[in-house]
Amino acid sequence: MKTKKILIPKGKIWISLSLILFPVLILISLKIFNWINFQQYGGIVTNLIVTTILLGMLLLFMTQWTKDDGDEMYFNFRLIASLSSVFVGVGLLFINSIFDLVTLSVVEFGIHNSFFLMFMILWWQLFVFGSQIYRLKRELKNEK
Amino acid sequence: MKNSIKIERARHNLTQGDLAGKVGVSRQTINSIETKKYIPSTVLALKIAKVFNMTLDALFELEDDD
Repeated sequence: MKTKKILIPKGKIWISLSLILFPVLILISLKIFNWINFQQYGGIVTNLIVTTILLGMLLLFMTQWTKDDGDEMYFNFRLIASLSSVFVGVGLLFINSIFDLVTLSVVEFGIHNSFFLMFMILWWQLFVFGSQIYRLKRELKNEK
Repeated sequence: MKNSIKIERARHNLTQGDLAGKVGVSRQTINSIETKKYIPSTVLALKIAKVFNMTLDALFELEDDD
């Protein structure tokens, strides 16, 4: 009930989608047309672009997905999604540490990279939340 | 947790949408409560009970596995 007030209205979902899609397009364009010197500025530009995508993913999570989104059941879904994504993050770090131990860091898996870890956490959060909404819609459709 | 919302709804001639509107949640939430997939908060449970003019324990009942 009160959650609805802190969520971004469904009509403004384009904000988060643009923040996710445009940086990807910009990155592809930069690579194809060689607009910047990637040797020199590649790291900074990529970090900026990835941060924008992560922000977009977070905003997408905070956006109403359906017109009914925002009551206490959806809040519960968001809590479950957030909690499971924390487990995924810790799990990934743990698995990576085990691999590091086994291979003695000869192979770099890159999960220690904070951007990758943050991306996986947010992606899992969106996936779990989305799948719960999908299951709910399917149940309602079956009932009809 | 068992509940008799569906029966009470039928008795009061209310659709899931009507009840959802009265207590300020979505129809999906009412459906999930009726099918025991979601346990409502105390506030929501009290609101639903108020619509049917019933007490909480008359509307909701604990099951052995709760």
